[in-house]
Amino acid sequence: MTLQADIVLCVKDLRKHFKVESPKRAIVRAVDGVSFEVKRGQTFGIVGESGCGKTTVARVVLRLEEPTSGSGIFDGQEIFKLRKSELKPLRRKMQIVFQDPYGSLNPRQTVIDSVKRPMMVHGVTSGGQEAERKALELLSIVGLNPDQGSRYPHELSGGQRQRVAVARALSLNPQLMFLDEPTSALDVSVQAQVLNMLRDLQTKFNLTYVFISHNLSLIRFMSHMLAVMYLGKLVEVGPTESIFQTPHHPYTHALLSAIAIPDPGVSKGRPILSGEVPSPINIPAGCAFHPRCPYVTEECKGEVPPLVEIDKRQYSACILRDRRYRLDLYKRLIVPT
Amino acid sequence: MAAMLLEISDLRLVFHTPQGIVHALNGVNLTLEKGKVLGIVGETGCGKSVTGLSIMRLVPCPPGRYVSGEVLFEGNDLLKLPITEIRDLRGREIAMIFQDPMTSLNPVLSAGDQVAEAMQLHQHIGRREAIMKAAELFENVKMPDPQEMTLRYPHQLSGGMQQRVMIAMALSCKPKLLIADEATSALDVTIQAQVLSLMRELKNKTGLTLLLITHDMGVVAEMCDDVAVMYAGSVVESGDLSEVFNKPLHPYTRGLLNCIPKPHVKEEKLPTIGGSVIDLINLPSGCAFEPRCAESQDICRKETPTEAFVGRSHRVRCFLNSGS
Amino acid sequence: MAMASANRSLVLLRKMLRNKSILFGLIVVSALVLMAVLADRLMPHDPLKIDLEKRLQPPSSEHLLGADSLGRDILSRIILGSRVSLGIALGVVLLSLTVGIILGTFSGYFMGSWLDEAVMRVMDILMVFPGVLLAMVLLGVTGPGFLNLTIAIGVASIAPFTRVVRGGVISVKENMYVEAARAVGESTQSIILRTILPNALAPILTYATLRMGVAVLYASTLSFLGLGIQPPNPEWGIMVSDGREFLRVAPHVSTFPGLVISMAVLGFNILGDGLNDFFNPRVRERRG
Repeated sequence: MTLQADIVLCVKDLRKHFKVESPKRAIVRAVDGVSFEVKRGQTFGIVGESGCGKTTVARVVLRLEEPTSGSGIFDGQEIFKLRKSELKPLRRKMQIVFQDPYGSLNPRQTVIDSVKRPMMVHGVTSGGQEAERKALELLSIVGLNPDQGSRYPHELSGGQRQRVAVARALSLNPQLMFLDEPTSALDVSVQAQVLNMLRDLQTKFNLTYVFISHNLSLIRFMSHMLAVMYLGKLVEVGPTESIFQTPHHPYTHALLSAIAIPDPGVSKGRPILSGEVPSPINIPAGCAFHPRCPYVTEECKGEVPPLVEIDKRQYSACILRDRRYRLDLYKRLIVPT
Repeated sequence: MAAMLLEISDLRLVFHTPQGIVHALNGVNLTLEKGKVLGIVGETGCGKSVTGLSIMRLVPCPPGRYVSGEVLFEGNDLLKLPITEIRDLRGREIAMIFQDPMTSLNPVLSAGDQVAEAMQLHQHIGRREAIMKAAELFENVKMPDPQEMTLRYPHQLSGGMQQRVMIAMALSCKPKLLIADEATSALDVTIQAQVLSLMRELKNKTGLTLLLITHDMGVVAEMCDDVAVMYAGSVVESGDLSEVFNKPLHPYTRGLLNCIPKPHVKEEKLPTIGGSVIDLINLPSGCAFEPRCAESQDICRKETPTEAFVGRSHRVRCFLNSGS
Repeated sequence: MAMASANRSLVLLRKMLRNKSILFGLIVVSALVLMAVLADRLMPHDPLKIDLEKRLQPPSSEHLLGADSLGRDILSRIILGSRVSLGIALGVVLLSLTVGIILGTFSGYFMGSWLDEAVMRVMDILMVFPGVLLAMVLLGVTGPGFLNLTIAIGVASIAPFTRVVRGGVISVKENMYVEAARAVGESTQSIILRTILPNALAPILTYATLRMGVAVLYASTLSFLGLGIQPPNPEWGIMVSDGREFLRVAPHVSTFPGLVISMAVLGFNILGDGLNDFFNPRVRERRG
């Protein structure tokens, strides 16, 4: 995969392993060989359940955690080779909006100060006045009233706080923005407003997002490309629409059929995935999903299946790559074709 | 008319706080038939959790105060019963499970002990017998290796398993009504599907009546026979599930259904409900939803709409739908 | 913007004063401070003036709280003594707070590192000794006196302060907004000074207030034992000690200074408790 001008981020074989004390010197393979590309102006979605490693991927790319191994090319630079002292300019170009609107803003800073801070840290403005002006502009871009600027976070609602977090992330004109479950703590009506705003901003400013969520419906709405993660690995990657219409990996099937669809007409009977999500300390041998897979074969317990292209730009890490399926969410059917 | 297990009429509840009087419930009307599943759905502050807590008389009074209304369970007004009778009712006739099992379970007791405790209390059986019954219950809630599970402590169990322990505990004394307050909201998608499927199976097997409190319209569509949509402390629309979802009459219901991204269609923009959730201390006169309503009329500002029947069981509290 | 923050401080102050503990504590502490500051003007008599004719006199119109074994006015000595006690308490807290913040912040921010381990082990060793005993040992080496007393009690207070600061820093560090500051590219120094410390201030301030009371008690105890402030300087602890022999015939000599010590410590404790409650309200998060 050569780096073209419109690829903002290219991650290859990223691994992040944590050592834990108990049980005796075990290793948590939080991220275990993840590769993907993010195209400029698009949203790359990463979906998975708790413990799959999706948030860790973001944190490692942002260098909030150090990678165990792997390469990442961003804006022409090999970001994992940068020393800590060289990270500051990188931070200007990559930003993140966290999940928790109640905790990600400094309670002692006013809204306008929070939004100004990144600009002051990086010295991108010619002084406090200009930073203030820009910050006010950003507040109105995210749909907040400029006089909310002098308020403190505890005086705002969850949706308003998330807007402040987005304004703060935008203040440095980053090339890439990570959105880590930005709306999961918000009510659905507020969620709709925030998601619409994010999409509008993307169109207006040609922003590039990595959208992380456990909610497939949101992922479908927001992202152009989609990656499904399970226990530290990508099991399926491809254009969102392709995956929703012809999902290949059995775990993707499980996620799709597990969604509670707000439509009483949808069939209620559907295959439910059994078993627990195993802990990332005890990853099963071979294909990590095999203990829960309805299509499991002996081969699956042997080697880890690689991500292989099964269709146009759609990749799946399941050895049964000649099988094709069509998804009918309405009838809850995954039909072999 | 089938037997009504639960009937809430005109329930009004306020909280006296230093910031002012919070009007938490403003005339809630609900009915729940025996053996059915009712979903109460709404966003933060709508009063759905407080309604559930009121049924169990778990709302602290003070600072709460029931201004009016009744909560009839099998014909008896729960609000008027003495506390000793309520305690007897809790767990035995009505059981409740909550969102975060980790905080609802006692960390120093094993799962088996906790379930046994409830049974020892209400059924007056010995500990050994209770633990055996606990293992049986764990089998009923589809826990793998139920005998071994009784020995585990809460922190040794996953979220899904903890919630099953809660369900086992709730069902241990064979209650007539199970109230589940956001019971699956903290679970992973695939685990939520398992727990919901389990709840449906248990309901079909034992004739249990379920009251599901949730913000998730998908869960409601999956599980419920009837639904009640709440906003600002009152039920704005209620009735048969298909009717409410397919022919929503109240602008808020319509707004809620429209603004959720749906996995089975590709959408370009999410229709939103303007404004934000209102302040329960300063309720507007007239319809509480009016400030956010795109279809509001003059009368909506002046008077509070009363409930009107549209169809057999479909009720709506909206001037757009009254009398016509 | 400056107006807004001034207004906000007033609003905060008013909210704090609504808390009864804070109100009561502040009244007592303010009274003590006033006593110390305006001592010269408040004292009815010269606290050092010996008048053997009036020795051990019970409370009268001339000596409102009576006279001690050398005929000195107890009230005046108590008033002047407040300057000593509060001065020591202030000095102790400033010393241990400064050292505690430095050590505790580094320890907390680099939790788990060798620095943290080293600091914590040293603190553990210091805390093996009861505070008074540690101060006594130090005073044995340096000799008595106002400054030495302050330093001795200060050193004995470093370990608990370091722990409290460390705890506060660790709990603030876990918040997302600290991560957010890192993600923005702020330097460690900036994060500690501008983000972590201001948010950790609450438990630190509360503890400092409680420690003032402890310092007053230690100072009195050590002076009572003859190791701190030396006569003829008036200090509440020495005054209690002086009155020991005469407890049966003239109980007022020990009792009044004893009561003042109690009031002072109580005032600081209640203020500290009130601050603690104020900063840690029991917030009940309810979803609808």
